[in-house]
Amino acid sequence: MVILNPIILKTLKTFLDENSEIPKEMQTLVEKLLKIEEISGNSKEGIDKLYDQILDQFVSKTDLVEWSKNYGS
Amino acid sequence: MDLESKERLFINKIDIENCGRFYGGGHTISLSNSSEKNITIIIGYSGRGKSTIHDLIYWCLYGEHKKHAEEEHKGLDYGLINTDALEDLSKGEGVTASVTLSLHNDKEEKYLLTRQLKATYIQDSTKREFEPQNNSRVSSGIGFETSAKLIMKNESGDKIIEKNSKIINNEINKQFPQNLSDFFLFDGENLVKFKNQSSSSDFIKDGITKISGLEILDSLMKNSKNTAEKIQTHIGGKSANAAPYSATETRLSAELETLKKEIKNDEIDLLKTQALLNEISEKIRKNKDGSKIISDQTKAQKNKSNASKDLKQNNENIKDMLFEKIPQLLIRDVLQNAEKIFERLENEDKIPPSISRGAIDKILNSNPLKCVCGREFEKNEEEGQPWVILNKIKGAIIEDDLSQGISLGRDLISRIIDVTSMKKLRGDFDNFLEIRREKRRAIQEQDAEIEEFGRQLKEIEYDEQEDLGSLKAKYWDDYTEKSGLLKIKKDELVELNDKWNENHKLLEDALSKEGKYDTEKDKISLGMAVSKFTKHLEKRIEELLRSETQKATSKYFLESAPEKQTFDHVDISENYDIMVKDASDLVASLSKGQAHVLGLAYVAGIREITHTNTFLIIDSPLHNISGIPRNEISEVFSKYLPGVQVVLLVTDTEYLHGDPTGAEPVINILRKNGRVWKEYFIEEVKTKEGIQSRKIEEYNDQ
Repeated sequence: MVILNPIILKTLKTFLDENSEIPKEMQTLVEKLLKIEEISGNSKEGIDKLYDQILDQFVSKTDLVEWSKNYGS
Repeated sequence: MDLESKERLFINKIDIENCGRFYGGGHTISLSNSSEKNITIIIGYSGRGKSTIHDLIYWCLYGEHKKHAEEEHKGLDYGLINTDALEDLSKGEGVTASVTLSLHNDKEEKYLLTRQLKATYIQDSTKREFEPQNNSRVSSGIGFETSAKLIMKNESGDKIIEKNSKIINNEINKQFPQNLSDFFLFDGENLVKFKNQSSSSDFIKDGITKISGLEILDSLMKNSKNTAEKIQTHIGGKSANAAPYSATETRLSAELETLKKEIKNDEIDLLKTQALLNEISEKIRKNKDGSKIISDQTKAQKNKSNASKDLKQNNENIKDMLFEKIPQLLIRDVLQNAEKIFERLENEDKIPPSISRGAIDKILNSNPLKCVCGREFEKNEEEGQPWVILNKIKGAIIEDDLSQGISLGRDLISRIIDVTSMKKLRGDFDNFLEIRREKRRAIQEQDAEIEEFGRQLKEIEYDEQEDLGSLKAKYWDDYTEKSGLLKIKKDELVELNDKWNENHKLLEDALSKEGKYDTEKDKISLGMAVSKFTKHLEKRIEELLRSETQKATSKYFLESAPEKQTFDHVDISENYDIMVKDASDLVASLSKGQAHVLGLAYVAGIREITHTNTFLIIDSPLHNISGIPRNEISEVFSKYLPGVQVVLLVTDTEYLHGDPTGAEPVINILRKNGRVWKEYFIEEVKTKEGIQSRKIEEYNDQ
């Protein structure tokens, strides 16, 4: 188990507040993925599957997907 | 910074049994819990076991051996369990090494933590191999087993005994985060790094990364990208069109990963070489003759670098001439003939007026006004008159692409003919050759000068018994070679990235043509976006912590540094170089003592911003410090860090004796300020059986 420094979550929120073009669902998505990192710690087994499942949950968030297509490319 | 404050926790007692040089049990040290007399001193000759105590506290807290930057334990025969106790074992016998920490808050004992390592002689063996649990080479016939026990109170306030090491580690990590351990179990050797900006930068960057827990973001960045790439590979494999691109992407991704790792390692290596080079240059600069030669050598290196740049540009010009102007020269005759034909056609008015602005101009400028056919007409500006109509036609022609194309084409032909004049080309080429000769000569001259300066550096007699000139030349060659190789790798990385992007685009196109896998493609976009977003987030956190660290370090340094009134603030640059500046924002030069205090201020600053409210144990706090600076640092320990449980592990020489360069015995300075609670001395003793061991006793100077 890795301890998640509260500063990361706090800055994540501030960063999104300052960049209004980023859909708010990004915060939930990143928080969920950080939770996986926190729990799995050094054990990387099955981490892809967990990531895949979380990404799957966000495919229906059209705004986030569209923004991601432009941002990530 | 809004991090949760923690209750104050300190070590009340340490019990050591059969660890390192401490044979048997009963090795106990009680530490101060007083806020006024907050300093405990542990004195010992070199090799008596001071660092062992420091490292055993770490092992007891985390069940891991503390890593030291420049140590290689794998070849050592001395490990955690006392070597005599281990070597004396007979078949079937066992020995246990243990460390117990009694950890208190302000009211009571909060934790009693014991960690043990048991060794059992299982079978005879002549083979010795590295045993990670004992952190040394041991006979392979010995088996090892670790265990831990934590006595604490549960939520209802009842005392419980926890033996599950995962639960113990979680509980201890909550109170004493392992990533912050450098800031409560501090290795004093790191303070020396603060004399030099670049050698401290890695330490500061590492500290900021650790305190912010940025490793978790690195992992998030990597895993989200990996997941996206795996999905891509998966769907790419299913599609016949995309399969080749998918396979290429997998290969390129692996190559990129390897190259990035290599570049990262090379960069670290280069920084180390640079630090060594700076160190040597600094030593040479201290010598008057050396300083002048280094300055001249630096000038020569700059001149060489400028000449190399000019030579490179000149080579580019020669390439342009060979690959652009020479081919143009080959078609010069054809172009010249074409121009003549154009000119003749225009003069003969054989280019139809509809495409020749020249022909219209000819008509409008004729006096009296004449058509190309020779017919005269009046210059009448009334609507419908030939003059007005001709002007309209001229306007239309100017807009006309075809006529513009013709004039542009003619223009281009004229320019090519102009620059490809045989005489001009020959002149340019001679000029380029002359520049090349001149720059090569300049480089050779500068090389000779650099070599000569290098030779002069070797001839200087230095105070220290080192050939600094040769060392500098060696490190310089090493640095040049490494930076050259690094540049090549970075260029390769750019090229490889371009290939990856190009292939990725083809892969995306192939998949989109299939019109399938929409969900997967969306997941890929999400994964890639998370990875990129995390990178930006990480940058932001780094900046934030850098600025907080700078503020807190500045505060402590300006409170405690010797001659603090000459400084104005501490600056930590984007590259994590730490600098102390004066009121005019100029970088100030620091004495050894001031640099040491800067390091301590950094530790205190990090403790403040992370709300670290626990002990501070410093191994060798006066490492490499003598004379007046040692007095200055001792004053800092005696005046600052109030309320913090401080344990200093010092050598007898520095603590009990002064030195000829002005250092007072540290004991005098610390005792004068009334902050010392107890002093312990580690003595070498022999047991009844004649086994060498250590005894920790209160120091008595009477």
